[in-house]
Amino acid sequence: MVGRPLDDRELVARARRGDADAYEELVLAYQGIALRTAYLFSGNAADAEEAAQDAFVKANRALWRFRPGSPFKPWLLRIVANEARNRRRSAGRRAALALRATQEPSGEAAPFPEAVLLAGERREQLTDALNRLPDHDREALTCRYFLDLSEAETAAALGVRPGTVKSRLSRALERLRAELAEEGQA
Amino acid sequence: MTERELRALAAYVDFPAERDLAPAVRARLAARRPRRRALVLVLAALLVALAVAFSVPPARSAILHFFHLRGASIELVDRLPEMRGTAPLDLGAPISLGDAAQTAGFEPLRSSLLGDPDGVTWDGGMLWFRYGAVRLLVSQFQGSERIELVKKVVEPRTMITPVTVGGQQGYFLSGATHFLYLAPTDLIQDERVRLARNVLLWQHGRLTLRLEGDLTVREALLIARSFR
Repeated sequence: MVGRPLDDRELVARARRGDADAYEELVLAYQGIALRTAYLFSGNAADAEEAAQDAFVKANRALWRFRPGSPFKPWLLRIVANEARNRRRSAGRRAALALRATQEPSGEAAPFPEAVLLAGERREQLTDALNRLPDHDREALTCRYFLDLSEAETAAALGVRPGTVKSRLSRALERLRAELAEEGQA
Repeated sequence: MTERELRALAAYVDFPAERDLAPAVRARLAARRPRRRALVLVLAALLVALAVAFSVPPARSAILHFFHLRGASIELVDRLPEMRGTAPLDLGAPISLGDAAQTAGFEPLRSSLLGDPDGVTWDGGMLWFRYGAVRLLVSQFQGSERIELVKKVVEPRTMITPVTVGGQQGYFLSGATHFLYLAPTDLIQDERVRLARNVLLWQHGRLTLRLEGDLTVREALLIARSFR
């Protein structure tokens, strides 16, 4: 008989009691989004992997502070984001997004059919405009639209109030449009 | 249109290929134990520095601004950050006293003075004994399980008194509210922040113990020495 898969709440409860297998299941479940988050905040693939790994280790040590019943993913992503941001700051660089060399969208990260319609030139313009935004604007936009986090999850990951993330997203979109308009691309 | 385009753009971002982080994370978690004692000793050294500095009032502002060590820090501030109130205690999962040794991985010390605790919990790194009648908390752990997760904020009115418990060094922290427990990576949230009462921190062999309560130094030492 195959047992019912454990949900996050049960896995976290077990991990808090020192169950290494339960925590490993959480790592397996969230390592993908943790890596992507770390990359968006650090702007460097090697740093991203280290930051994600460090974040999982720190999160394990901090499980006793985790509020039972609250969602695990945004709590973890906030630790990931802080780790990645600290690495970027230590290296003294800005996070800069880069596009893949291939023209084909990634199936894993392309839930939207219009992805295939986003022309190469437009992709470059959008990426350049994003890279010109202040860090906190770019972080809010990429959490919301690249990681597909809800506004509440974005707020938790960024460590700000939901109301703040709403206004920050709105302002960031305005700035992004202004950047694109400046180039006559909006 | 921009929002839809942003969602679409995600498919083209050069994200790193997904890697299996689990083996490395598991190995690092397992490998951390041997380093803990060393970290505790260094923290103890930092506390000695604090004690010395506090014993010379004019030196306070000149010396005690910030101590940092591999994720652990002790910070002197003029005023503690404002808080809406004391956060509820989260001491981990309840366990039985009989299971404590197996769960914690070490034989916990017990007090001949206080008897059995009213509650025992394990938070994944620290064993907590709660004595309800006298409102005391005792935690014990091997090495510095908490060190890389905790930032201790000390305000100038705090007294730090070096003491000896069973021939080993300890420190009694009293006076003003003096500790803030902050989450890792500078995450400051109300539920993760707590003001502590008077605290006696001491070592017993490989264990580090921490007694918290409304106690004088004499009372705290009497209780500490009863833990064997």
